[in-house]
Amino acid sequence: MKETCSIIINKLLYLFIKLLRPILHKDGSVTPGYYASKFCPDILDKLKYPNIIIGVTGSSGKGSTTSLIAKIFKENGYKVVWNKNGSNLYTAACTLILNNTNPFTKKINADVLLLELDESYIKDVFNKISPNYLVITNITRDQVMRNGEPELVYDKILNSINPSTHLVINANDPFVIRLMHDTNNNISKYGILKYKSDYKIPLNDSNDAIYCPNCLNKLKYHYYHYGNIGSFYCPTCKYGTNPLNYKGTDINLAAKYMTINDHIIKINHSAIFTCYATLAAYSVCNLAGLTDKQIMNALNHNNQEYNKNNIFHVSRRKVEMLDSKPENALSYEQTLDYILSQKGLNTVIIGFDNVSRRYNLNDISWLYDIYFEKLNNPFIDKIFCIGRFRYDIAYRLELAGLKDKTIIVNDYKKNLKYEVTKYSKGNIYTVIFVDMMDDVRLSLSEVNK
Amino acid sequence: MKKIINILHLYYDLMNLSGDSGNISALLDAFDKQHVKVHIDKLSIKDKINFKKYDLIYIGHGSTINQNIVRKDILKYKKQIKSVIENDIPFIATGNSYELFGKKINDEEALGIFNFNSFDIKKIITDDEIQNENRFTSELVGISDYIDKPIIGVINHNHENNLNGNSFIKVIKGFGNTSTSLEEGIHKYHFIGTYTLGPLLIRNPYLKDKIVKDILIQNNIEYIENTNGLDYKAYNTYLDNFNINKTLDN
Repeated sequence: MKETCSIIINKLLYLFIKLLRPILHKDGSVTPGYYASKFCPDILDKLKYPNIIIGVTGSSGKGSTTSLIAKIFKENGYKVVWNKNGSNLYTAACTLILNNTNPFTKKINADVLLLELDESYIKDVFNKISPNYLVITNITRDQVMRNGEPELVYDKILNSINPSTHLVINANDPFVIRLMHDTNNNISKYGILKYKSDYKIPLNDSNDAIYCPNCLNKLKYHYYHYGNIGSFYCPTCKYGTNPLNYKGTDINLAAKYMTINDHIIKINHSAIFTCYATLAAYSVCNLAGLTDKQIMNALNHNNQEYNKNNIFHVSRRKVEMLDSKPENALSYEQTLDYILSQKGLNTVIIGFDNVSRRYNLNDISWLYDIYFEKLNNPFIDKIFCIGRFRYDIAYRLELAGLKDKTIIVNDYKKNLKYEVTKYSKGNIYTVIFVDMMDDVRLSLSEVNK
Repeated sequence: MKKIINILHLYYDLMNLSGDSGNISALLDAFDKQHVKVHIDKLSIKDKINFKKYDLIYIGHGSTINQNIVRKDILKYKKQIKSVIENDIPFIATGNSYELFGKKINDEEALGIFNFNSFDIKKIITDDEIQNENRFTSELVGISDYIDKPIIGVINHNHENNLNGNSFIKVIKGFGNTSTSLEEGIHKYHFIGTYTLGPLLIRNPYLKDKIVKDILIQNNIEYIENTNGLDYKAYNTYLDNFNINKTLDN
C-alpha cells in the first residue's frame, strides 16, 4: 500500500509541477522522486523491472550515448523509459521510474529502462537497481574541485558495480580499462582504431592513468587519439586496449560516417566524441539482443543535425556556439578539434565569467591541461578572449605560442560585435561557458550602433 | 659562453593534476623575456636523476595514489635532495608534493628533510557549495614575507600537517596547514612548499618573477623588470574583480 501511495505521490507531484511550470520554472525531474522516496525509502526495491536495464556513466559523453541508445531501441519498436532531459541524480531516477510505473501492479511500463547516471551518485541507484549492462564512456579529470581526483570517481564507479552486470567499456581509456584489473565481471570492449589525426606522442603532460595499476610500468601507446585516449598496452602485464569486441574504423568526420565491425554507420556530428557515443550505443544494443541490421537501420535513419539551434548569422558570417566544459580539458579540447576540422578561415571566441555553475572556486588549472598550442594554425584568424578571466585566457594563449596579433582581449559587454566584425574574418565559433551564452548571443546579434 | 639555466620538472607525468606544467611554461616564458636560455629536463620514476645539475627544481600536485608512487621512488634520492636544498638551490613544490619533504605521510616514510608530518584530514564541516567533508577546497588569498604582493590561488587536497614555523603564506582567505591554522606551506633555504594550486606561478607573476630574479642575480645576470605583461593584467584583473585588496584591508 505504501508503495502504491509513493508512486501516486510521485505522479501527482509531477503533474502538479508540470501544470505550474510557467510559474515555478522547474521541470519537475527531481522533486517528485525526492518526496516519493522520502515517503517510501525502499520503493525502488519493490518494482517489477523490464528485462533490459542499461546504465550509462562516465565523465563525458554519457548524454549523447544515452540518447543514441534510446533512439536505436525506439526505432526498433521497443518502449524505452529513459532520462531524456539529462537529469542524472538519484532523485531524478526515482521520478522517472515511478512516473512510468503502474501504481497497482508496480510494473514499469517499458521494454527497456535506460539510465544516464552521474558518476558521483551511481552507487545510490545501483544499490537498488541492478542493470544488465553498464556503459562506461570514460573517466577523465573533470571538475576536480568537486570530484577531488579522477581516482575517486573511478572508485565510486568501481564500488557501485554489481557482479552480475555486463560492463561495456571504452578500451581506449586507460582509466576505464583498470576495471579489467579490478573486477571479475563480464566485459565487452569497444574502441576506435588508428585514424588520420592521431598522435604518436602525447600532446602534453597532463595525462591520467598512464602507469599500469598492476606493475607500475608506464603504458606503451601505439597511438593517441587525444589526451590519454588511444591504443595502449602494458609491456609486462596482459593488459591493454586490444582485443576489441567492437571496433570503430574508417572515420570520416567531414562526410559524417564511420565503420563499426565492418558496417557503415552515419554519425550526426563531425566530432570524435560522437563516434565514441555511436560506437558505445552500437555495442550495448548489440549485446542486448538487437542485430547489426536493426542497429544500422536505426542509426542511418533520419539523423538530426547537431547543434542546429546554436547556429546563426552575423553580417553574413556563420556563428556557431559550441559546448564548452571548462573543467573537463579533454572534452574542451575536442571542441577545439571540431573548429580546426572546419573548412576555411575561422575566428574563435573563448571565455568564461565563472568556472562552474555549482561553486565559486576559481580554479583555472584546467586551462593548462588543454593543448591550446593546436590553435597555432593558419586557418585560425583571430581569437577573442572575453569574460572575467579574459587575461588569464590570453596569457594561456601567449604561452601556447600564439602571436600577439591573433589574440584580442575584449570586454564582451561592450563592442564585441563591432570588434569581431571589424578585426576578424571567417566563420565565428564561440567556446564560452554556459553562464555567458545569452549575453554573447545578444551582443553578437545586436544591430550596429 | 652564456649561462643556460637548467630546470628539472620532477615526476612531471605523475604529479600533474593541476595544470602543473603551466608553472614550467611560465618560467620558460619569464626567462625568455629576460633573453636567458633555459634547458628543461622532465624526469620521472625509472629515470636516473642527478639533482646537482639544476638551477631550479619543480614538482607539482598529484592524486593520492600518484603521490604514494612518487613517495616510494623519491626516497632513494634522500641524500641528494637534502644536499641541494641545504645548498640553497631553488626548489618549488606545489600542492601535496611538498608533503614528500616532511617526515611522514600518514604512517609512511617521507624524505624527512623538514620536521613535520602530514595526515588525512578529519571530517570538516564547511559552508561552501561543494560540501566535501574529506578535503580542503577553497580559494586562497594570503601574504608572504618573500614578496610584497598578495598570493592567490586555490586549495584542493585531502591532508593536513603539523608544520610549525617557517610558513610561506599567512592566510587571509582559505585554509592553512590545518582547518584552523592561518599558516600555510613552508619557506626555508630556497625551498618553497605550498598547497596553493592555480597554477601558482601562472597566477602569481610577482612571485614567479622574484624567483627568476633571484636565480639571475645568483648567476650575475642583470634582471629587467616588466610588469606590463598579460600575466600581470590577469593578476590585477583578478584582484579587482574579486575585491582582494579590500579583503586584505579588513
